[in-house]
Amino acid sequence: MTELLDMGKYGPYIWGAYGASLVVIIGLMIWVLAERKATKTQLRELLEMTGSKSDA
Amino acid sequence: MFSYFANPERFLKLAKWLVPPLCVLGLAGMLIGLGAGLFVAPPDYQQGDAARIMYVHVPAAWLGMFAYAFLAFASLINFVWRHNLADAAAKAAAPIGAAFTFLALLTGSLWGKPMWGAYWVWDARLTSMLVMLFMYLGYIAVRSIVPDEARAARLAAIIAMVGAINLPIIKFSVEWWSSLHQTSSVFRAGGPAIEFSMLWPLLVAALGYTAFFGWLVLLQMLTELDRHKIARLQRRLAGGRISRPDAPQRRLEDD
Repeated sequence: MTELLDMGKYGPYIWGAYGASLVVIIGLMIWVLAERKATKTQLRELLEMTGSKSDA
Repeated sequence: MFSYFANPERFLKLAKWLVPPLCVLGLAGMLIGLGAGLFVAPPDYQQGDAARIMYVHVPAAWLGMFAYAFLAFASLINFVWRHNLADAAAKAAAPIGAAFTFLALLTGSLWGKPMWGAYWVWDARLTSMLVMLFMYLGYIAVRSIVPDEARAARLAAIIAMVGAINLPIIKFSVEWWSSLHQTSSVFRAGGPAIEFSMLWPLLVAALGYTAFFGWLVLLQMLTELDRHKIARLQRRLAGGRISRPDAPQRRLEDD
């Protein structure tokens, strides 16, 4: 386990790079999905308000 | 082909069909590629385990450049033909491309410290990548600051197209100028210079990153199209062309 974390003394750089990548990838996913959900909800509410039909 | 998919109905049909497989391919590719890069691929004979940073750095850099080329192309289509879908594609790609360019610079910096002894050097490759990040940020800033949507799209498209000049500079910077950054090891004359056991996780990760980008861009485009619908409905509501079912039975024009 220590060997895995140490990665031949480059551990902080390697785990730092993978950690940053994970944060950016998950952050992008959350941002895009949250925007999608919020927009769909707003559109559905507006459609209900106006009585229009849509596949939203 | 462009005119065929320029039809929003056809685009919606295709996008809704593509979204699930791109999500699966993207997440699986990243998981397998990055996992293999971390635990399966052998250490480099010179750099040791530090070379494992390559599996997160190189796909992010490739994707940053690919996304910029996509942004510039979509901006060109929108600039010439004023096409809403092309504009939505450009608008969707910009923040995602910027995030991956930032990630390439950050992971490159973490790779540079143990190999070069510094987190940052004003090297041609690093500097031209930083310029690309600024072009992305300029595009995003113009789209956020200029209130008129059509004018913002045209101004931002000009920034995107001008910034495309930087793409060949990034690619050939390591050959044109003396650079600390290594030359291309994969896309080079004579084939890849990387051993297959190290190459396949890199290619799988790159495929995963690209599919993930496609998934995010399609979702953002669908969101952007919904925003257009919302704006249209709000304009109609504000103009009194639609009466709310719960509103008093009185036409707004009567006021």
